[in-house]
Amino acid sequence: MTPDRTELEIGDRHVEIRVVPADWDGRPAYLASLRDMTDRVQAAADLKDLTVALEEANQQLRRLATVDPLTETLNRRGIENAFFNELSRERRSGANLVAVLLSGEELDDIIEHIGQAGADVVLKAAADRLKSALRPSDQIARIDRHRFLVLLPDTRKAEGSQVAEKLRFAVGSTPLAVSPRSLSLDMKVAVVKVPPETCSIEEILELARHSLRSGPQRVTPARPVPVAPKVPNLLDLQSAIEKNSFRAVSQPIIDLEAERIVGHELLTRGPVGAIEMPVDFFRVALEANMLTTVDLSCLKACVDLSKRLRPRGKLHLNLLPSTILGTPSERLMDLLTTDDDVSFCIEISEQQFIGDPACLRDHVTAFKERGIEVSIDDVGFGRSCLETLIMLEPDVVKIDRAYVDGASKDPHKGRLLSRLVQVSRALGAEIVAEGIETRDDLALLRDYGVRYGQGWLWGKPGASEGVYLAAS
Amino acid sequence: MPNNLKNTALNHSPDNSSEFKRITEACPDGVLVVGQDGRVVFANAAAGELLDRPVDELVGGVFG
Repeated sequence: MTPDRTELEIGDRHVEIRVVPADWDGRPAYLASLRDMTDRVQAAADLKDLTVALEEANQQLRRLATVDPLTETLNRRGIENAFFNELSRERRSGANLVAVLLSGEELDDIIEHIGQAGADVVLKAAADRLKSALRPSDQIARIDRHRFLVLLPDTRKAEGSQVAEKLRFAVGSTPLAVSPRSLSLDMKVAVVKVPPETCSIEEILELARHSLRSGPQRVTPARPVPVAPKVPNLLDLQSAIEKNSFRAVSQPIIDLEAERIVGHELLTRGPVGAIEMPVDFFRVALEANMLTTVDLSCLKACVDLSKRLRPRGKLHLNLLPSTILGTPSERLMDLLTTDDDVSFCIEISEQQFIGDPACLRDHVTAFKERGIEVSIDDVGFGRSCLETLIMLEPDVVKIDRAYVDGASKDPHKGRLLSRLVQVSRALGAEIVAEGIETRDDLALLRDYGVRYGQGWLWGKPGASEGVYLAAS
Repeated sequence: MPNNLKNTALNHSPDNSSEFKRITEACPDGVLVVGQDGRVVFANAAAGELLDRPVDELVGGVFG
């Protein structure tokens, strides 16, 4: 029997009463049990108060962890969080994200004149003006001593340039009052369209750093005015990233016995000109510290091409080890996910292995778990080659063209090739020979039992020769 | 108040009543038995403490 249950305040006591029907000397009666709940109720109330106070303290902590105390703009971590939220939103909606970097380098002079405390007042006043010039959806952060980064969601670059000018004007047009004198702060600004491949604030800063300028931004520049760039061809590269002008080309992978196409390697070209070939644009990207952004842009171009290729077979994509290590893995898998049933093989270049190949192991395993094969590119007799092969257990080994091209004419080269083939085979990897240009070399590879290959013998990478059926 | 206590101790006879009293005296919860007329016919010591009244005064009074 379930008792009736009520709670009563009796005096200063909180009493829970349960009542059940009962017999008392043969007469119907009620049995009531009374329990003093005062302490328990008080404890629950205290706990609730504590929980609320703790939650408030946590919120305050979270705020402090993401806000710059002086200017009350976001700090580095705050803008990083905002950036990641924005990025996932952008990828869903395909909208534009523009970043504006504002640099108040004059602050160093100001510190010399009026000291740190005065400079803080100037910085705070500047931040207040910047904040009031922004839309509610914009994000602003103080990222170091005298630089602010602003993220403008749903903004085109031309609009971004206008906002940048407005911000510069907001700070510099009237002097910032600092008793006993007033000072002006003319900030340098840079505007960049954030490529969707970007995955860190550092990359945005790198992109922006190179185009910091003090003069007004032209609102619709065909291309930025070259002002003695620190890295040659950097402007070309920046423009290629912004305009997404990397294009993918394909080179067939051939079954050497049947001379039949079994797949393609997808390669990338930059805009026509000085940085068209990967070796050139990657050199510029390396100097400008933008390797990962560029590499991911290339990957995206290749994945886009893969959707149009027919027939496809297996598609080989190139990724730099630094990109694999530096990109959040869900991000990478996201880029490699297509609606089509397509099998990818990631080629990791041997040439960039600078550290311990063991650090790539988990990433390689992650690829394999997703059904993506892994290949080591440009395999030869480099120092770390054997170690890499043993550590990473690739599905495919691609033999560097240096050991293939002309091997039929050069007995020394032929012996090296033979040994490479034996080592790769012993590791259980499929072998693809690169750089096959003559039928004699092809015949030699067949003799060695190499099953797959690629090279100019079957045409240069591109969309010609009738075998690269890039249906539009 | 557990039902088995009710079943064993509440029913009938003064003997059982005194047994019931003895058991509930040691119980930290207040125990009251109220007749259908609303009058208290039994109260243990804990009930007296909780309601801040002597047990003698509780019994015979109207509860509620």
